[in-house]
Amino acid sequence: MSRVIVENVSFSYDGETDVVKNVSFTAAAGEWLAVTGHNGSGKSTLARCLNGLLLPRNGTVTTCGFITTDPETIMTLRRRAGMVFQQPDNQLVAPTVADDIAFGLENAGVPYDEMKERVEAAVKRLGLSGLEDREPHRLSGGQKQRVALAGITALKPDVIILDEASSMLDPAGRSDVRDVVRRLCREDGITVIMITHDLEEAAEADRMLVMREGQLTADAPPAELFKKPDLLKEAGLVLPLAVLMAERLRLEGFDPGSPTSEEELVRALCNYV
Amino acid sequence: MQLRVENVSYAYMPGGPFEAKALQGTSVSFASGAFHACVGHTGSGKSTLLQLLNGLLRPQEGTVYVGDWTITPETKQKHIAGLRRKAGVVFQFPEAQLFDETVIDDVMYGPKNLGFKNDEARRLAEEALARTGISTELFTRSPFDLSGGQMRRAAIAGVLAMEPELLLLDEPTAGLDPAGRESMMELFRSWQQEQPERTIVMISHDMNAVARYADTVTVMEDGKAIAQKAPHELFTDAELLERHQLEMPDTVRLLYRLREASGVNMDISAFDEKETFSRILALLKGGVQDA
Repeated sequence: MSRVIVENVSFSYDGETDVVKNVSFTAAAGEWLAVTGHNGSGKSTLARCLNGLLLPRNGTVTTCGFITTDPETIMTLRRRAGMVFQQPDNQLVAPTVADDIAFGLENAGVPYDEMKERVEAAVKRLGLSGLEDREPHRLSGGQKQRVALAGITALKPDVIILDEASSMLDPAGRSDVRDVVRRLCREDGITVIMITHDLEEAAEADRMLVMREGQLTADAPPAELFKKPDLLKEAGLVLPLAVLMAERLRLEGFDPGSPTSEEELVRALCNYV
Repeated sequence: MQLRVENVSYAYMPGGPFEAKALQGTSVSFASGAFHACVGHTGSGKSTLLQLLNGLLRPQEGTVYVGDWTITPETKQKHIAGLRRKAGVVFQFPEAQLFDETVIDDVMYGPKNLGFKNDEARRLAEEALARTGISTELFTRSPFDLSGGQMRRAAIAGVLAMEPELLLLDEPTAGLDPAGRESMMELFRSWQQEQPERTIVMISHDMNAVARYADTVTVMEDGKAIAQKAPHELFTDAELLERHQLEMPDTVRLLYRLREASGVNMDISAFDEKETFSRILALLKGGVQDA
């Protein structure tokens, strides 16, 4: 069964203009989705509908088997579907890294011994060993986002939603976050829904959704969408450099294949040299 | 505006158990009438340097020269009050500094504070808003009703309306989408090039923007400026970048990897798509270029 089912969802902040318009999609267990679009396309609003932070004006969202409009199950739903936000500073609450990771477990009423075990496991899984007693606000941006992810991971979630979680980070922090997300998805089978305007980041996903003015205008594997540059341009997205270069080379009569990354393009081009 | 920092040290909570040395006897200068970028890791001292350049912080050791002002550890705040109007700062997430009831009032606040009459302040505010691409019908809206991108533009208009000569930018495009980033960088460049004395110092992690827009790049590490080079020098020096864990711009990295993988010597300093493409094409067509 799908872990996330979005059916005909519309959302409006002011009751007049819909910023999400009749959107439908599903995400399976262990799947990695990238939701792309420019600033103001409705992608972050959509993300907040997935775990019931916002409730649709129309349509339904069912996440981990729970409908988001049911107040009885919403806390369970949010434990099973954790969310990391854009600003690393606004989501860490405790005086130390370990306490911060334990915060959600404590709220969930997990017994002390098990809590200790789960925190230790999350620290290890997210590469935070040695930082357990540090103050979260003294960490780098990438470390902070990993602490946020560790807090979610400790709750053994089925779904992780990342709302532009790396857009404020430096390149090292970005690849840091992407590495752990990759492991959580590919090794632990967690469904990842990543909101981003960076198509290089989206390239690694199984499916890429394109949002434009509140509407879902495409839902396909990234490699397929990269063959439709006009659709992406219209959505205010910029093709990864490697894809763009391959595109232009084709016009010049070369056949570089359909690379989605720099490595693939370089490999293809070396055949010509 | 000519800027020079000489043997400057600065620590937060100096002398205490939590002392954090931000700058450690560093010297660097920035020529007037140019677009300077400053790169380096979190904690390398970039933001501290920026705050010294507009007198928000005073050095604990050494001297800071900004235009006609000289700032030493002994300098009194009132002696550098005039510097504030010449040096505009755009901090990270400037939209957090919006406060007034309407967009136009918010942008007029700075000029009025500097002593401009209402009419003149309004003219300056309208010009700045037009420049940052905020349309007239938004002037009377609450700044908090604007979109994130518009809020940032309005906040930047508030800085430009004070007619600074020096603009200090801290990660001005963080969180913006590609189109928003580009138009913001174009805005800064055209502002800088309009008057001969206008100078920009920008902190950024976005090496693509740094390579395309900056005249010089200063590398900060452990509280010191360790290098200052033109983008085409810095970004083609793979060894130096590697040693200081700095990223190459996308265009340079693609060409660099292509050069390494193909073994064909080629010039890898290309900072836009067009140039990059012509280098790749030349390589494929067998026209080997001299590096």
